[in-house]
Amino acid sequence: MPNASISSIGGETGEGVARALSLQSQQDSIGHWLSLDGRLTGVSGAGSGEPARDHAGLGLRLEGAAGPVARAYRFDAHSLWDKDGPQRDDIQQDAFGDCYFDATMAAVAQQNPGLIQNAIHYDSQSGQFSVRLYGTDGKPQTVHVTQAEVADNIARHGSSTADNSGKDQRIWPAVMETAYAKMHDSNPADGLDQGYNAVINGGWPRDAMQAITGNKGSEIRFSQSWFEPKNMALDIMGRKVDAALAHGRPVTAWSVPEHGQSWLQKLLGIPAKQDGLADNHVYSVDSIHKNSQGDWIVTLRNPWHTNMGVGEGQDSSSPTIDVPLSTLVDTGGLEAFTAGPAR
Amino acid sequence: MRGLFLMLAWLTGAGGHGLDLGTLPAPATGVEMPSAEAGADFHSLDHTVTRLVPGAKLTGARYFRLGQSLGFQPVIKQIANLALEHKATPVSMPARRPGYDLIDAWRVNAAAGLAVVMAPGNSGHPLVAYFALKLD
Repeated sequence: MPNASISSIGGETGEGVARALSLQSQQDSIGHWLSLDGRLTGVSGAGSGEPARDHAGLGLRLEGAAGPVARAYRFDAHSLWDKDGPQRDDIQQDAFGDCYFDATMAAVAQQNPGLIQNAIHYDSQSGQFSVRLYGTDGKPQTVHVTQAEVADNIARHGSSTADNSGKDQRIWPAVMETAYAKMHDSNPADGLDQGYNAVINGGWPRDAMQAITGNKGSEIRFSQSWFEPKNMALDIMGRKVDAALAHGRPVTAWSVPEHGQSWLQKLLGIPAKQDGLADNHVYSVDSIHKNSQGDWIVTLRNPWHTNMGVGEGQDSSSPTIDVPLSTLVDTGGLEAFTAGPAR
Repeated sequence: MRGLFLMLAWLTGAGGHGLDLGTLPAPATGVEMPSAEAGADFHSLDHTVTRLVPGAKLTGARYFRLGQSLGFQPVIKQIANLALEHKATPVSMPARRPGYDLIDAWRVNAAAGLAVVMAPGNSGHPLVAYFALKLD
């Protein structure tokens, strides 16, 4: 069973052990050896490699009474996500400029969380996570992420909420972001600075979609032919986004600077209309709907986990913002939506 | 004639400066601290710049204490976009450790630059500083 670990044991004894491990994990980033009756032994290495039996398929292998030991790690399968699986709210972009990757993770978590659950596996013996990502050639790659590398990502204020909450919970974005950086690091043995530098200074939404899902997806752009009324072109665009979401496709939106003022606007002191989105940023698309006036309204989620700091007159602490599709088109503030593969 | 040129430059945006330290937008929820009143915790940010930006000398500074915890990206994005708009180029900082060193810097022209630095601060109120730089 993928992702099973010592902390996923059912029943009283198992839960007790899990709690003990959880408590220990709050204190120390380095794994300890723990006997299955809950006693921390502090011994490194003894008896770890000789499993005697698989206990009811729960992913835990028990040994005899003399040597029932398993290693407890700070992070395990239990730390990855809550019982509801990966959630878009588990993302909080803090220090890194990789909105394209974070927003794509959020979009996939919303539309196809099973993809993320199937992409990350925990090995309770080694304490490592293996993450399936895809290279630019579309071929899958398995990246192994160590305990220390996850802790390093959290210390760097990466894309999980663990560094904000101080709790080692819902760490899957940290694991996945670390794997993505590691994939771009020629020598991970000396730390992941090189890999992070390669991915945190901006990137393209389609590359992130490819890396996470194995499919670049397709772009949805505003297109209006000369004989076509604008409202009709907007409606076609809105329907495409709506259909993509309805089919379980993860969708992101790439924002760019609005059109500047015309010379006449400048002369008259009329400011350029702003769309309320941070420019040169990527959002995940939560939903789209038609309001009572028949206008398409897009709900976008900022991977920052807030809309403070946008600076376009609509700052709020909510991570989501509703924007009329017509505003995005009229201001030129939207480059494109990227819709990934269907479930 | 010069007036006409300036007006054309203004209308086309070519003459806009926009990267003067004093005109940069304050970070969200940021309360500006007079430089003289900024304490040692703020001035540690000065050291971050001189340590990480090769050959930089500080020529001006603005200090802010944020009203709430905010990530570095929400703090830096507006300035980064302004820098991009004004064709400022990112300054390479080989010693910067991503995520541990919360700093970005841009070369505005041949001899001048701009840096934004952030530190966690106490009790969830991060410190942010904007610096004008003289660059080699």
